[in-house]
Amino acid sequence: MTPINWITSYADGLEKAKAEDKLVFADFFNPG
Amino acid sequence: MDAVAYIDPAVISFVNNTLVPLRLPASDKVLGSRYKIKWTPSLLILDAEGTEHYRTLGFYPPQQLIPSLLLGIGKAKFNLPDRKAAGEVFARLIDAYPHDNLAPEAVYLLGVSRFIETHEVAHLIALYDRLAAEYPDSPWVTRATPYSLLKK
Repeated sequence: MTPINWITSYADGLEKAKAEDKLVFADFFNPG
Repeated sequence: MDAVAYIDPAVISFVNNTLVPLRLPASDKVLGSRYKIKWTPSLLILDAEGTEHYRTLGFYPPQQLIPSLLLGIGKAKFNLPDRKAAGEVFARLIDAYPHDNLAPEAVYLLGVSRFIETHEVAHLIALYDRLAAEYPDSPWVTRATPYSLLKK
């Protein structure tokens, strides 16, 4: 199963959201 | 989230197809401060400008994460504002997850979205009637109670 295609760059995430007319699901996590 | 929700096939499919998944460490000095992240996991729905429209905290099982994200998507559409799209998302949440604890809020927001779009008070009355009938113990019934007075 393909995992979630996480983007780890904020700028890249917003750019992709603009290009694909999507909203962003931002998960602020604790990397531990 | 990694051990349970993010490995669930339905969650993976929903997130990859519906949203742009962005994962950031809460310790990020700039973004952690900008979004006032005080706890993890903090799950946010942002528009393409980075404006926050929805936030929730804590760990979700898969069957509760998708309705939470749908509520966030609906709220973002509502705010942008695209009330027609918002209504479609709220309706999807209600239809697919009628027993989720977020469904009553979606019923409320669906009715409000339709009212704003059409200016027909029947949508406000209908949202109260539906909440009273299907979710009588929800606090959203109380929030909708004034609309019951619109009945002629």
